[in-house]
Amino acid sequence: MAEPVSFEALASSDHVLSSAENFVLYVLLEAIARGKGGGGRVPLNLAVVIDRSGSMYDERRLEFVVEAVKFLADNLNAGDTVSIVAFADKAKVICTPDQARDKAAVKRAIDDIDLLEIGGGTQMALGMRAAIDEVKKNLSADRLNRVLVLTDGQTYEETACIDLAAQNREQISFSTMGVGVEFNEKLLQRIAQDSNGKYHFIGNPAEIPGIFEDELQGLRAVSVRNGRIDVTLSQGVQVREAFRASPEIYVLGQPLVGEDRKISYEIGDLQAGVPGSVLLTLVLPPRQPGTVRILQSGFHYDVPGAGESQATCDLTVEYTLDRTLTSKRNGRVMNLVDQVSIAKLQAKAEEELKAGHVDRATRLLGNALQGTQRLGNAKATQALAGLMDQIKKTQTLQTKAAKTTLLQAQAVVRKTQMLDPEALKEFQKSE
Amino acid sequence: MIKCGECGYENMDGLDYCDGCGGKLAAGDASAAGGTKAEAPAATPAAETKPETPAAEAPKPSEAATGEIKPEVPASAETAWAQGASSGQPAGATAAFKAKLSVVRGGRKGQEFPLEDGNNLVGRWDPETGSFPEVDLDADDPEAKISRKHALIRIEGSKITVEDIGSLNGTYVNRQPRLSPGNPVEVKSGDEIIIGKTFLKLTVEPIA
Repeated sequence: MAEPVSFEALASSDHVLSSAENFVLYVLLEAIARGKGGGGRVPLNLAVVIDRSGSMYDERRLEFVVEAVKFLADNLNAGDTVSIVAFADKAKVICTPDQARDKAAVKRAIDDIDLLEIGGGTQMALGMRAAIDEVKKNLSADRLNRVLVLTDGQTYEETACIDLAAQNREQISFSTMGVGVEFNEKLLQRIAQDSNGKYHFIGNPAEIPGIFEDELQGLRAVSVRNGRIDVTLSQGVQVREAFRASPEIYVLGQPLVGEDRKISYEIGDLQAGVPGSVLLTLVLPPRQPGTVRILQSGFHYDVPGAGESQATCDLTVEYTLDRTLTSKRNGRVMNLVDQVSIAKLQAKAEEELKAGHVDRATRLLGNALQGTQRLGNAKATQALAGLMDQIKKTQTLQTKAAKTTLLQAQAVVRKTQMLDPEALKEFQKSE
Repeated sequence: MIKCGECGYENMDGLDYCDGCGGKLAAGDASAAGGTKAEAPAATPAAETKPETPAAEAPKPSEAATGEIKPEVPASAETAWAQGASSGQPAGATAAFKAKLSVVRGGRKGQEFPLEDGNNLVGRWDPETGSFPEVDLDADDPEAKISRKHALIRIEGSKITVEDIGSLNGTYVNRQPRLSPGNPVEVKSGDEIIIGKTFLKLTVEPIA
């Protein structure tokens, strides 16, 4: 395979209704890195930031963190570096990248995390700052520079955390892990998505080592870096909404479309075989029947050791009067439209609940639930059903159990479900 | 315009979900505004909230992800593993034996997984990370000790190897020390392979 990446622009339908009105079309812009991944060709430059506030002693949270860090230490390759930072009221680097060359030293340092005299509060920004300093010691475009932040509490100085991630996003990505129900999930989601890291909700502390494993496998599978999707819209075409559609689902801010009608979406590093995509809801102007190009797009990326590259793709549709043609949908695009819509419904239900509109929230969740059932997403169905039960029971979600169901549902509908090889083949056949 | 059958909101042509209530609109059918009810029985969501409830609509292929309606291990040797790993065998050169793994402890005892030529991924089915293993032990892993991408079993000619691919809880052969990740070891019929906390037995039989 010559091209390391496949890039496609796919519309929800190849046909658009020709009428006097505007028409909505979903467009999926999707890049998939080929190659095997898993080779760990790109060395890692990691820092782990651990919350050591008082509550981390609850539910054996700290014990599982210790286990997770040891797993990490055991699975690093010779060219990788790691540092460990603990924070509470103060931050302390308990293992520098130099010291961490000795795996036993990492294990000793993490074993002694409970002996540190750093208070019992939650100053996450201090921890992040110390970790950034450590990562910068080995900062290189040829390494995957990532900070893993784990916390279980509401931090002071939230804006400082957001600024730190934003200021360093060009070089460093941040993956965030929230344990329990006391942390601010919006903050952790924001830090991760701003820097193209991942957000993890950890309802049960026993999951912590598994999340570290996921992070490590994910980093090892990266084969294309610094992806950017550029779009040039044709005259009269507008973006109504934009979503990151995989590997996580979240809303992208309204783009500023200049006179040149160009928009760019930074999508970060791609793991081999895991799509990186953006889903646009476009509003197309009325037109006479005929073929029209609605956008031009390009995917810009770096291949480690081989430099920059780009793939381009135009998207044309056919305006027609025939409604049987306009009702034909692309299965792959609609699958993601469904998934994005479910995430939207969940978010909307949350807002309604905050405003005290329990009935409306329940109704929205009911619609989301139908969607997850239609898609056969058992995990999300279960999470949403659990959330609905809790809302009916408590009306406000103030209890810990209820808040857990909310965080769980949020996290589950946020993760894009990939199509298995058989389903993908079916969809591609009909394209 | 598409009028939502549930709340009456008038949506733009081409939309699939109502901007008003989030209900699914009858796809592309602008004229049949009243016909949406049939597809979206939103009045009775509560009765159907159990995760076990199968989707009411015609099953889509992606339903395989429910954990109950999983497809059997693909029968075709050309089925590439999600990561793009290639089958080890040239097409047509089938082995003169068949190999299988069976669960002997820690899962659905007696459950069997036939093994294909080339790579067989052992792990847990997970559409979030794109893990679609040939040997899916999701239902044989009550303590969640198996990684999504846990180990690879490779059949090349008459040689069978097992390799741990960076799992959290390890892979063991015949109660020997934990396999070091990335180093395949050869296994033979009758060997015991422990994946996480699930005990499997490898059986190789000549094709009659």
